Amino acid sequence: MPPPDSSSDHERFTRMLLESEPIMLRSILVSVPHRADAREILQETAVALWRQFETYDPERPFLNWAMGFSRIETRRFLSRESRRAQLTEQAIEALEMDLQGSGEFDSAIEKHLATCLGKLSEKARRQISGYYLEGHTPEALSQREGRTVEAIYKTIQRARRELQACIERQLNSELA
Amino acid sequence: MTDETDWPPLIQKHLDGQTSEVEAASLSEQIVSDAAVRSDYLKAAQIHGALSDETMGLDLETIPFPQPEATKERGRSLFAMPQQLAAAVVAGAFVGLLGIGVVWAVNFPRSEASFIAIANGDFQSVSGPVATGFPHQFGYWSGNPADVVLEPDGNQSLRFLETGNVMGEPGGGATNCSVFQLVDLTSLQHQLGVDRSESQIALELSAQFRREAAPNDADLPKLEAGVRIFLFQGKPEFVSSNWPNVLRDADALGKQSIRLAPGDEASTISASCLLNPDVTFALIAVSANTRAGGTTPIPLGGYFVDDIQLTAIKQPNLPVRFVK
Repeated sequence: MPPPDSSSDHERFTRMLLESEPIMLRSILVSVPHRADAREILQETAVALWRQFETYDPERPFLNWAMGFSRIETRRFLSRESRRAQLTEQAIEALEMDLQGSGEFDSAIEKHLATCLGKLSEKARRQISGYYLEGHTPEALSQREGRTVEAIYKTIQRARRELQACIERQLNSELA
Repeated sequence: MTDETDWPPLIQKHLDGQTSEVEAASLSEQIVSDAAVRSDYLKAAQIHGALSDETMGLDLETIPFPQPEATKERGRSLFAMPQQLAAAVVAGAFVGLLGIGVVWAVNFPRSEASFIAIANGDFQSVSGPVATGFPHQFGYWSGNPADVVLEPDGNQSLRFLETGNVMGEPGGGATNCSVFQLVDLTSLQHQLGVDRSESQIALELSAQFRREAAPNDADLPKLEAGVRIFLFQGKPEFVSSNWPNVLRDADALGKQSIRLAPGDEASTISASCLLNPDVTFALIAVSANTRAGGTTPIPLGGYFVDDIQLTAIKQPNLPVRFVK
């Protein structure tokens, strides 16, 4: 089936894709945590979605349709990827099953992440900012901070665990 | 990988692409078989995903810093840094210009900061017992009995083991366990230049302390931890040979302490003092102090310190005082 080519189709596709991309990326990151890898999968997914757009049923949510493609592209990526150690297919399947029922925690993240970031130490915030917002590698942060790469990783990993604990506390207090 | 494996740190390692094939396979098995590990992985990955999501619009510079817990901050030094300046240091870091030496990062108007390299400040590069006695050269930790230990999450930190008299004087006081490092400042001073007419330079020493339960906690009700920084002119050998009487020759000093209960959250404290253009080196110290008199060494074991950093901050009109 040839790809759609009308400008209105393209505009509609682009709008729906842009709306869905952040959720798709976060879902891919569960299976493939490396951000550059996840963005590569997202790109491949977008291409596949456009190629198959004529088969999309507008009565169905675009996100649900697109997520099926991202799962396929994730599997393709994992089958050819050998740069990093990856989870097994069974583990990824189990995670994807549970991910569908984890909306409550996702909502809590949306609601409380900024507050919990505010509770991190100055050093942890600086390194989380450098790693995620500025997109620096731990090696670059190591140079910038005058610390070892291992220490940078540990600070970032500790900070994420503190964020998780903080968001869980916020969620539990809401549910209490 | 065994039943004793601590899964949360391994999950975090995997999110950063640091796991080996064996570790990833083991984590995969656990994710399939253990719902609690699976749930923990999902939450950790969701946090990682949210931080990676540019559309979240997170702006750490606009998020306010938490207020310090007054009950934990004891004996704040006259030389302590204002909160605003500490925030400025972090703001400067976000600008992305911080580095070793004097690559100054402009943060708040008129406030600039730069990290100064200290040897093994995060205790990642060396493990085991630290050298005993007072240090005689730049660039290594030495002092009372202490060791660098590996924690369950793979991090390494310094553990204070026993009080003592660092100079080994017979009958000398043994009220605290201190670990010292001499830091050469001549290169920093050279880059800063002599003219300080329009700005002041302060050095800030910070460290993160935590306390675990130890067998003799009940015997040490006043046990506290602290950081100290002393600035000197001349050669470090003079200080090494004349400690602690040489304290009165210090050009400036700053100190800060904290008292944690076993199991309290880790806490970072800092102390600072002005850097005179004639100063050539700093003596930095971290310690656990029993606050009790005596000449007999006392076993400690519950206090740990990590992430020791020395920062130079350039700002006019800083409210700190010289010792003399």
